Amino acid sequence: MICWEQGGRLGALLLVLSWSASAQISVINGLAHFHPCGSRGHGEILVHNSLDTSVTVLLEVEHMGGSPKISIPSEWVLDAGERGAIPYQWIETDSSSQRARIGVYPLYTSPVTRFGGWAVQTQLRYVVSLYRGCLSPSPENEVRAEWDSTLTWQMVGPHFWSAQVQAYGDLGEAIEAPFNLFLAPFGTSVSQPVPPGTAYVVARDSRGHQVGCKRP
Amino acid sequence: MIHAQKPFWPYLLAAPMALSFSAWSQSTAAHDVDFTVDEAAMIRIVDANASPAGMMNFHIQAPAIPGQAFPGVAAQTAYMQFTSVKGASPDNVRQVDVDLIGGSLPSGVQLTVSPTLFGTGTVGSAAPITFSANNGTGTLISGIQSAYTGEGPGDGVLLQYALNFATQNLDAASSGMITLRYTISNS
Repeated sequence: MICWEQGGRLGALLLVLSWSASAQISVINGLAHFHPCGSRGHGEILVHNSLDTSVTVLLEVEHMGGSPKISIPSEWVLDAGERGAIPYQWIETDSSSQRARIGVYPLYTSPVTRFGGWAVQTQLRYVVSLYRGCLSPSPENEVRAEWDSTLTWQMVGPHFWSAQVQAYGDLGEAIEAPFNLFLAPFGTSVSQPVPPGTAYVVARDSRGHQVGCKRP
Repeated sequence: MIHAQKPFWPYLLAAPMALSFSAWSQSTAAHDVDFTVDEAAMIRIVDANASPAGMMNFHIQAPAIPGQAFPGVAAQTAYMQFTSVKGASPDNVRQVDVDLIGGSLPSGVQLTVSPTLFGTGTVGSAAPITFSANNGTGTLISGIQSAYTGEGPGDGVLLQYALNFATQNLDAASSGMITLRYTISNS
């Protein structure tokens, strides 16, 4: 028989939430980087340690595809208060579209497991998405838009596309501020809420290409 | 002669001043203003005192009278504090996901994390996540753009942790470690 508490109470169950989120790091140059083809094949992730002790930062690569396409250290030590630039390098710098996700988190120490209870450890993690590839030369042929309760965009071609989407009313008046759109060529779609009163939307990229979609 | 009668020292003083003004003017015109904003993503989880570490104990105690069910335990709270400055697409919207990455909850025992948003800026929208033997993941906050929650006691997204169970599902032999991982990423 196991006595959980003195005083005759049996079967007490202890759940301990152990907050191990004291190791405090932050990412200060964005959670997504896009490298258009033709640009440099390397970049860096800036990480700041706001503690007064050193922190070991672990980096974990999720390759979206087969072979490794990016080279990045798996571990980086930041001194107290230090901002560190963790370099990464695309291994293949051709025109193919590539994507990777980098998990960035401090080294946590495992809590002691308590007999008869649950120790719940809390961890914090940043994920930085890295993209490399060419922008669509003809988004009118590669971008698909579906209008349901929301507006869903999808890149059906092999390229990336970045644009600003403006909603318009029946009289051609702009409704609300334009919003950003980024499409990756991996089958993922982007859904955006459409402002009330929208009759059609137009997505424009920086090179003058436009894709319009009228509310059905 | 007339010129000789006029004092010329003011001109001598004015000349270097004019040169000086000219040089100052040119120097000012040549300065660029370098304007850099960190595209920051900063997050931490703190207790009610804004301390980043602590213990949260759920003590599931036996009832006072034989025959009764185990009484429920009071929910407890923590705060998620974050600072987010968005950038250009694709890093213009962020979200926070929570995954149960270590251990598991026994069948019939659920842990619900319910967020209540507080902050300045576009803090997004929140939804509760219930972790159980069958579910170990969920999106806690989505649609974060540029926003901050504050750093003091009581600042931040209020996280309420509620443990739900039925007595017949409890097993005092249950033990282990559960790891909840909070991940901030671009949407």
